[in-house]
Amino acid sequence: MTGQRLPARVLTYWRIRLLLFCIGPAMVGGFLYYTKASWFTIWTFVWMAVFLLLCFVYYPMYYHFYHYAVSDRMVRVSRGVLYNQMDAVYIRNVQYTTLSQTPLQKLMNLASLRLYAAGGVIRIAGLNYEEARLLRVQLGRKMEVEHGEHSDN
Amino acid sequence: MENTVTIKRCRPHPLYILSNLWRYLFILLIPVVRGLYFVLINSFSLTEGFTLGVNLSRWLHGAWMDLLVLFAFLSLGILLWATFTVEVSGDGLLVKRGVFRRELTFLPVSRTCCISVIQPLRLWLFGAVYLRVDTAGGSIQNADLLVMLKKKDCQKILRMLQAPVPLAPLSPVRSYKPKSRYVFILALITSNSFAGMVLISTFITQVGNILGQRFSEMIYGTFENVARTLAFGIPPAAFSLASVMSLGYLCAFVASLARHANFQVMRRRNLLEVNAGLLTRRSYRIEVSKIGYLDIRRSLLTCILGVYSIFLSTVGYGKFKDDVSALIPCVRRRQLNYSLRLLLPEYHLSERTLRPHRIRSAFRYTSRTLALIVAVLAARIVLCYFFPDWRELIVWVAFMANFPLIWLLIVKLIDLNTAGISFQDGCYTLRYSKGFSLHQVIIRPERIVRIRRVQSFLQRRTGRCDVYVYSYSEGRQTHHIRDLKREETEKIFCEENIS
Repeated sequence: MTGQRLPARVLTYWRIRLLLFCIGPAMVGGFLYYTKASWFTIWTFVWMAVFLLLCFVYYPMYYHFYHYAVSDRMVRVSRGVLYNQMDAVYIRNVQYTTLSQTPLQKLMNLASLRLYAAGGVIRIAGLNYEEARLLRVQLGRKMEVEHGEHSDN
Repeated sequence: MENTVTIKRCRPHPLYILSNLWRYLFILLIPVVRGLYFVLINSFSLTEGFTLGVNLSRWLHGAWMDLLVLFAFLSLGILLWATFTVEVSGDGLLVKRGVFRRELTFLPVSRTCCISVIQPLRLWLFGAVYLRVDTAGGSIQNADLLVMLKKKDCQKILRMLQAPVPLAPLSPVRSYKPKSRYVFILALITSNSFAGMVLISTFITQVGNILGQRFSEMIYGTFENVARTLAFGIPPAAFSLASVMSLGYLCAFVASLARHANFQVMRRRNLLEVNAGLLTRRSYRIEVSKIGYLDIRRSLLTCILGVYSIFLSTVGYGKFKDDVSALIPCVRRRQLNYSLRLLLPEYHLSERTLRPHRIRSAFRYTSRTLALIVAVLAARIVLCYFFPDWRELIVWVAFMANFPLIWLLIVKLIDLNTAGISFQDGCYTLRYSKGFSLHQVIIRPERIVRIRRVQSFLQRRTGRCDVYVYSYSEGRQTHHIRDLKREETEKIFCEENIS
């Protein structure tokens, strides 16, 4: 089972999403600028540092370590920078699937696929939309095959 | 799936627009309606004549912001409704929803464990129902799909999901409808004082929120005065507690009776259909192969009455607090096997083959309850010594605390004489007690996900152990059978039986 990478533009998507999240801290900074100027400097320095760290260090590393693989019987996702974690689920245990797209993901032709299994959920975020759609259909077929085999036994 | 042919496509009932946003709409609608009302009644002037147009333009000038927000809320509701579609194909349900965040969920029919149709009275007036679909995946608290549909659409979906094309001829239906007195007994034994108390307090608080805080204060004040007046010979606090618990129980009993009224179970091919409810009609369709286990439950009261209640454990059935979870509300021993054969011939009870030792296991079964009784008595002596002025209340509370503990001790003694495991014709029967109730669980080997044997250092000498059987469900469900022979448990849960 060889791992597959997410499309490269997912990195841009994560960065834009982070930039949108920064509107909140920036507004707090603006408020502090007019009320407590000394706090404004500290606050801006902190959130800018976190932003730069996430944007140029954490996300590229996260992207580098993120792999997913789909075999005939199993779906596996491995990720993590500080702690490496691997989630795996047998296709026979998958109960239903959800494909979702936020407006930003739609703009960048990306999608997230969630696989709900008995006992847990596996999420593959930032897939190419077409690929996610095909994967969902393929998984649906495999689920039916596995179910048929299981009920025959 | 997208490559399969869609047989039917439908949208939620238009009431869905309001049901989604009613909390916010309610806040905005009151000032708007009130404003319009004053505009209308102030339009009839003796000096200036009918001035509705002028008044309306003045009102619009002042309330345009409120109207804009109201319009935005309504538009969002309409958008949410318009983008929500349910498509039925031969393989399952494809659900598309979301305005900003689009979501596409596919629920294969092969994975569906329970399909429920719920029709509260408020929806019945508009010809709407809730369709609930549950699989073994997803959240424990929520259904995998909950959608408000038109009754006609819902019935079509049900027919399509359960009788795929080509239509197979329907087999004869076996039906079970309990006598009214059995439903009454079920409501009697399943009602919980605490649930009733929560119901009453929520009701009073909600009414207080609407009619003003003084109303709820008035109710609580009246209750306090009545309790003080009627408490003869016992502390008023104890009387209040007893009254609240009785009232809570009564409320819960009425709610349970309404929930289980018109109870009926039907068996058709591999499908079990349960219908119940007086004001809120509930209908559940469960595939027999997806049943987790059957639980024949008894309390001390039903032991005395000589009746049994059979509950069904499967994903999606009895999931929510207002759900029905019984299969046979109440039945006498001689009718138990007949009722089971009628509805679920795949499941049957068998005689105990593994049991605890009546004398050696007695300590394992009763030690905790005995320790609690001793602790309550000790606490009573200590508290009476330190607070002699409160003696009356302490003695009363200690008596009240000991009463359920003695009840529990009797249950544990019955458990000691009835607990055990047996296996016959592909069905395990697990007999054990949990809290105040005695359980006889009938489970098929393929529904057992894990078996755990625990042996304490005291049990090691006697070669006995506790057995935990984990059954297939959305959450963790365990069945704990105490103090059985270790070797015999290994034999009964051998690979031949499990596979």
